[in-house]
Amino acid sequence: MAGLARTRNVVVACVLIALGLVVLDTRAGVGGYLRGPSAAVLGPLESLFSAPVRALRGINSADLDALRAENDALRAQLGSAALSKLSKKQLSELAALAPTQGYRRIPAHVVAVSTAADLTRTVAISAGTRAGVVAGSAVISSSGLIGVVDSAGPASATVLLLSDSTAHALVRVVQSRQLGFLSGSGERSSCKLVLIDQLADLRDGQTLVTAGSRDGGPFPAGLRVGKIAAVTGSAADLSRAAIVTLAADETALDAVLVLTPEAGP
Amino acid sequence: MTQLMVTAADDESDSPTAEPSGALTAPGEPEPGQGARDSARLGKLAATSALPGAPRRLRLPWRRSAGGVAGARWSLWALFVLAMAVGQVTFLSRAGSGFGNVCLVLAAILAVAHTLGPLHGAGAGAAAGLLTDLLPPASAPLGGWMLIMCLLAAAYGHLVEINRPGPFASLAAFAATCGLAIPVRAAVLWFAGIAVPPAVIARTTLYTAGWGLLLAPAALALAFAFLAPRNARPCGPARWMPAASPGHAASEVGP
Repeated sequence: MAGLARTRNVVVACVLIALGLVVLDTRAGVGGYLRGPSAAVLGPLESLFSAPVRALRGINSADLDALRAENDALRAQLGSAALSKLSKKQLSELAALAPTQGYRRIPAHVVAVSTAADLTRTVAISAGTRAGVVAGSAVISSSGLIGVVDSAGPASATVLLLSDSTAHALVRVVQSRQLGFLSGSGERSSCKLVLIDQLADLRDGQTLVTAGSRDGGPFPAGLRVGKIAAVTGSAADLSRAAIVTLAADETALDAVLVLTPEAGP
Repeated sequence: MTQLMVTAADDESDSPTAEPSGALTAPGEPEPGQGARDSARLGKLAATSALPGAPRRLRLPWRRSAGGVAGARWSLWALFVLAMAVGQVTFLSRAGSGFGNVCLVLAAILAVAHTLGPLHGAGAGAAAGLLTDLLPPASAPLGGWMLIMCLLAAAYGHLVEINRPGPFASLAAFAATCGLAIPVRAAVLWFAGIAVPPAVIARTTLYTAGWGLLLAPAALALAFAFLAPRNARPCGPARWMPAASPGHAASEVGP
């Protein structure tokens, strides 16, 4: 009986501490104070563990250089088959949205991926505040946009992927130039799109890019996001939405670039 | 006539020549030299494993008596859990969607609860949960996994301690507890204002329970090898050995 009481006391104490942490982190954001030091310790450990993975996949610094070149050509990659059919005027307008100036490009590796049991979709990258990464920066791979930096430690940062159920982005359909809200579905490499204009043209296979914003944050305009895989609902009852397959395969992420506004996010 | 009561646990000494330390009762005053004769008899019993069907434990060369290197064993286990936590996010989660559902840390904690009981399970669960909350790329509310692992380990350890399930029931309970972590996790996220689609919760629950079922034997065997104390073993995997007869646990040995 004494053992049972002791167990109960320990469990109650642990549960109260855990609940207190949850409430404090949710309401006051105290988790950042603890996650920073822990990332400083555990981030390098994860980098060490992920080194064999990178070696197996053949990723090295040369790949990062190649990624820089790819990123330079990212706007050109926007010229998918559908985009290339657009007029020169439309292309030039889209190109005007793409980020050419004002962003620092910080190369990094993906060193850890959140587990499915976590029910959140995040990755850890090998660059942190020492390299200039700040929270709110966009992160891209050679395939396109993958997410935004959620928090940054000295040597690593956590990136919230677009498919996370809390992620949102303002995107533009390349073919119709319509704006829409992209929200994560919680499933791998998948999102949901709702157009602002419910009656606008929305079809399978259409390409999405980021729409950008006046101050360029959090996502620069013109970054490739993905393609529409299916359209659900009806425009008549204003319930039409689209399932979007993201351009970047989240389980195959290796080398990425963090786009940090030079004047801050 | 002197009757000696020998418990099955007395058979488990680390050295075959070790003096049995179990309950030894001799009603009345012992005769001169009786103690030495009893000890010799019990030592012979222990050396020849005279109790058929007695549960036996996995022995490792570095094992010592309970308490002697408890701290070292716990340190080793903590390093093991840390390696599992880091390996999970650096290797398994990147291997594909199926492997992403493997929850090695939870399996390790449930194994502790199974081997040592709910008290140790709750404490280890809280510590491992906090580690999971802090390990990049964690971003959800701090304390979430601490709450989940502490509660589930305590509940599972209590269940095992009270009901003493057999091997198959233990595996089923282990897998069910692994699966149960997902809805509880979703509830914690919902409390923090993060809604997870029900379809994602359902599918992840099934996958995690399945992986829990596969991981359970290895996790339990490792926890038992690392952490099981020498004599106190209320719910260890040794119970999975052939059951002792009712008269086995307390054998009567005549003079």
